[in-house]
Amino acid sequence: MPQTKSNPAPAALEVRGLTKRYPAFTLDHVGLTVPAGSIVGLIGENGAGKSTTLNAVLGVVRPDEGDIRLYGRRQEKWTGADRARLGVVVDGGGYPDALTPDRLGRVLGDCYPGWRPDRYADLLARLGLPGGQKIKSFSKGMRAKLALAAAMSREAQLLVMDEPTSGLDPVVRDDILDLLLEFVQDENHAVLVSSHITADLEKAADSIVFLHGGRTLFQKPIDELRDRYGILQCGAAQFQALNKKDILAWRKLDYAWQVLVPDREAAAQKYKNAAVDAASIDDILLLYVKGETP
Amino acid sequence: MKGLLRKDLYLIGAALPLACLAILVGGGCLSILVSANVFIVIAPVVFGLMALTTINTDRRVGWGRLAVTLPGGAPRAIAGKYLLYLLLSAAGLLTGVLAALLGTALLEGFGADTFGIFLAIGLTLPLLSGAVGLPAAFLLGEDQSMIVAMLTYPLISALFVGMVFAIGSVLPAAAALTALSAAAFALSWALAVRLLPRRDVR
Repeated sequence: MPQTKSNPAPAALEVRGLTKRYPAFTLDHVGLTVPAGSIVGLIGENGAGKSTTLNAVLGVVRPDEGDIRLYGRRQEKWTGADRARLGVVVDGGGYPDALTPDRLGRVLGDCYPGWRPDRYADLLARLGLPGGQKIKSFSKGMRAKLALAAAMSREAQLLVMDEPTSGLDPVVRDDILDLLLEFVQDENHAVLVSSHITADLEKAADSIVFLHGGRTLFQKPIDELRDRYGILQCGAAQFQALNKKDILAWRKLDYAWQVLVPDREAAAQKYKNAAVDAASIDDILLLYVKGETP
Repeated sequence: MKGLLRKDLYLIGAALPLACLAILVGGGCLSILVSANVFIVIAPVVFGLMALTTINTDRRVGWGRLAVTLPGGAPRAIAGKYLLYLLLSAAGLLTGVLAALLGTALLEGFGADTFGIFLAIGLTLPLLSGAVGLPAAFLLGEDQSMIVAMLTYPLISALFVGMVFAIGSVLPAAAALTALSAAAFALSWALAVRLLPRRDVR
């Protein structure tokens, strides 16, 4: 079917109202969109629900409520062909230690009809991974690279990655980010990646989904967060005088208030005596998690 | 399915020499004490246990999560384990039968009735144990699932003795229990493929 304005191409991944109840935690109506051709970063404190969200997307946990669509197809109706469009990279790789990359390639070649052994061999060589060496001798970085090489050597269109860069040195992280950026050069491809390393997301992601306490706080383009959000530092009197509509979150430090504002230029103009600086994703995360909201 | 089996066979390949040594030493000693036919019981049980351990290995390394996302999804991943268990148990049974035939020829002379009883036990033990142990391995943690698998062996032995007393003859009881265990394994397979994918992957 041709894509028109009235019939736009479906997002690579659409999650609506995703709910999963555990005795001690509830993922509460989480929603997010991963447009085709983009990288979406999933952030939040430990226990915010990132892994549960990704596991629900992958079908590892079964949601109590909600709608998950992969390129417009509801999860309940996914076939093998739909699942083949998913590439998965989990922390630690997920591949048995006793295998070698060469053997893993043969296993995955039997599992996926669209497996590309030439592409896999190229990626192993490019990433410096020895094909005949057992995975148990691999460093964490090598395992992460192997998982990515395996996910990118077939017809996967959406990569779902759970903390792929955690515990890796900056060089390996940079290699992985390069591969992700290369992957989304194809406008039908997309990446959903959870990470605690927000610097990586600032480099590669197009938008950020922020989960807090099992709920989606927001999904915003990274440019908006980077270019518009700001941290306003002020004293008690000035804080009381702030228009509450200008405040997204605040935090009281020893002698000052830190206030997250959605438009730092407007805030700087309006509150001339206050210092307004750019906000990093870490700043935003900290203020929402450790601070208060209006 | 082929890829899943290939992966598991790669894993098992590393443990195979040790398993064969265990069968040889255990079976060899019991052959001298009891009968060389014990190979028919020991070999399929040891081979079947190797299939069970792959489920726990998968869980430990995170493959269990990945397997659900493969084109065949959770039902095929579960069916793959049942098939692996059946193939390994069959390979164990064949190995055990060959070892028993060789052993009895060398040590005691072949006895059709004794061989038949051991063959029935060699079929019953892995099938009934697998019918319980495989779903337990998916549902429970590593330690608990191994305990369940181990507990099935004395229970099956008790069941066997009970059947013999109920029917009044060993060979018909052995045949009946073999048929029952085959049916239990098939039922377990059918239910597991249908019901286990409805649960979260542990």
